[in-house]
Amino acid sequence: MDFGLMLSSFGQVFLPQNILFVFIGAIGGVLIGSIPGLTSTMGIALLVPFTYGMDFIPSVGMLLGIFCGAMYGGSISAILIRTPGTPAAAATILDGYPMGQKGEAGRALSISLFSSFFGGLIGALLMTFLSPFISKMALKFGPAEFFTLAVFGLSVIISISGKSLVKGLITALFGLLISTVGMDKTCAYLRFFRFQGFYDGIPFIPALIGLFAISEVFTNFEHMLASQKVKTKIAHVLPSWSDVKTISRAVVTGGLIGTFIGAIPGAGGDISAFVSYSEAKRVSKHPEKFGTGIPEGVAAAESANNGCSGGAMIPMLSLGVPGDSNTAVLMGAFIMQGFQPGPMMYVEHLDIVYAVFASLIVANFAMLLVGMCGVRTFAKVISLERKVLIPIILILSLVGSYAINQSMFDVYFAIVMGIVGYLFQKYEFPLSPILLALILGPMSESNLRRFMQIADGKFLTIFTKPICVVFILLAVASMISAVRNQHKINLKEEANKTAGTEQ
Amino acid sequence: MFLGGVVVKKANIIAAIIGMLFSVVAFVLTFTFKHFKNVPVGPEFFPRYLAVGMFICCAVLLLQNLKVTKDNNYPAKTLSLRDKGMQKMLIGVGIVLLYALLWNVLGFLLISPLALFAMMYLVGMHKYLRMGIISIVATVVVFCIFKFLLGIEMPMGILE
Repeated sequence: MDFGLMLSSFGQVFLPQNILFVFIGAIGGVLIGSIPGLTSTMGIALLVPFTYGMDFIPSVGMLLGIFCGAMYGGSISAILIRTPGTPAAAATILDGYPMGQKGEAGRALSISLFSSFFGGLIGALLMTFLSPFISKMALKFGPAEFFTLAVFGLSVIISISGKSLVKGLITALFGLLISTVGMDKTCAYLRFFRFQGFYDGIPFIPALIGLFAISEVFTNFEHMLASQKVKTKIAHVLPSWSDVKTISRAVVTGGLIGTFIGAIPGAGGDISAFVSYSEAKRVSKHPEKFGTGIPEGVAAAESANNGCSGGAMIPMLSLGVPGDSNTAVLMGAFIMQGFQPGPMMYVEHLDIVYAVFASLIVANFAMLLVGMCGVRTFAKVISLERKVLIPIILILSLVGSYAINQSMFDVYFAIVMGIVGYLFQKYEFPLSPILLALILGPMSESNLRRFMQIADGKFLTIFTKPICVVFILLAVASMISAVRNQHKINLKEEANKTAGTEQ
Repeated sequence: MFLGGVVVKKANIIAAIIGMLFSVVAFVLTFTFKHFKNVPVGPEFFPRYLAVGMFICCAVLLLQNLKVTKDNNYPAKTLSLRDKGMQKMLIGVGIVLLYALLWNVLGFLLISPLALFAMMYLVGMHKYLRMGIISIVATVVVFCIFKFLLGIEMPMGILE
């Protein structure tokens, strides 16, 4: 590690104008996270266009601010109105909402903020010290290794497929197929369509704005969710010393669990929060109290989902494989700014890598301060009129799609992807596999073709390379465990349903 | 009219058939790609095999849904034109398309307040003065951020 360079990069991030943008991001993130239905992925996607004209450090600081802020923001509505603002806050409901019902909403929110901050900080620090080692290993990779790495990344699709594996695979293959549209980079041949807008392939940012933001607007046109009024008064902004002592173990364990689960491509904040919650319950002296509104429950879930933000950045920065949909969008923003995440970034732009580490640490501090100062205001945001918000999101989505190339083609494409996303969601086809496929598709294709050129068309020689064999085995193991986990979830759901019917 | 009052089983079958048709079209199109000599894996390789993979997955979805099971025997969300929600959604898509098409003609500043107003009305807001003020203020704020802060050339249409 080059500590001199690290210090100078950290110094750059700590410039007032850069810190300001991190704070703007954190405010936006907490706002978006606290409104049910608006996810952190959507928030980052909407804000990416705002970074076009900005320098890299403030722009990435702002996006990381949203990422961290939204992870915490989700807990506000989970605690106050029993609706997780983001999927990652689903586990927070278990103890957060009962605490609110007991008149301890302020205490629950302060514990959530404190745990989110420390969980996020653990994730950011682990990322800072772990990812350089992983990237050093990745420097030895050739096309074959990168191809199998992409295959490993794609194997994750199974774990993000939701209830139906086949539907997840169909959307992934659809994403991979559309990622081949446009100029083939190896032979410079234009595939499928001859529109100028497709010369550089599928426009990535308009595609994700369409899939994640515009589709949501269309769904709201059909059925507008009613805004819920919050009547609870919030007394605390930080937990008491006795609460800190009670939750400290759950916070540290949750932060570590969140980071390691987040580092596995495809496993996001929602999974890590539930794993951390059940771990806290397992080691607790009074597991029977979990679910009745106890601080450890909130702390375990919140520290894990924020720890995940640092964890998910590890494979994205060191290997160029996004850990979840948030980091997939962030990766798009990096590429737009001219930086291709992956091992070469640690060689060519080490200063930038250190600046990203520093930005994530600052983003966690910004989230803490924003949360302390604004928790009462954010609680009111939940009641914000969605009838105003949804049309404005649509306008921002279209302007954002237009701004990247200042092209109307991108606007029309975003609308088409919005309709596709709406239909996919309506008929229970998951959207995240498309996003992962759009990133990993070109990576796997170009590396496979390069490898085949070098190996003179003999594909089986890939099995003589130890790293490739390891990735293939990891991909198989990841697929098997994802299928088994989904089977367990289905069985549990069925058991719950049966229990509900019997009652 | 279309997918109105059907169960998920039928909706899945229709989705599978659409997916199969999509993959067949993609597969056939790959045969129109130029063939390169001395290239072991040409530009047609990936899309062709992906299309085959998609066709197989869609066929599996089709086969899974030929039988009624607990996973597919509940009502699917409707696409029926008689459904009020669907009518609203289609009007919404119409407004969005018209809005995008008129960007270059009338310009962002003129068309955006109208689109915002129309969309707020569509989602059930009826406080007209408030809607008017929000439409104008939101348009001006978005325009100023993109035009002056980010330096994006916004379409001005007839105001140019």
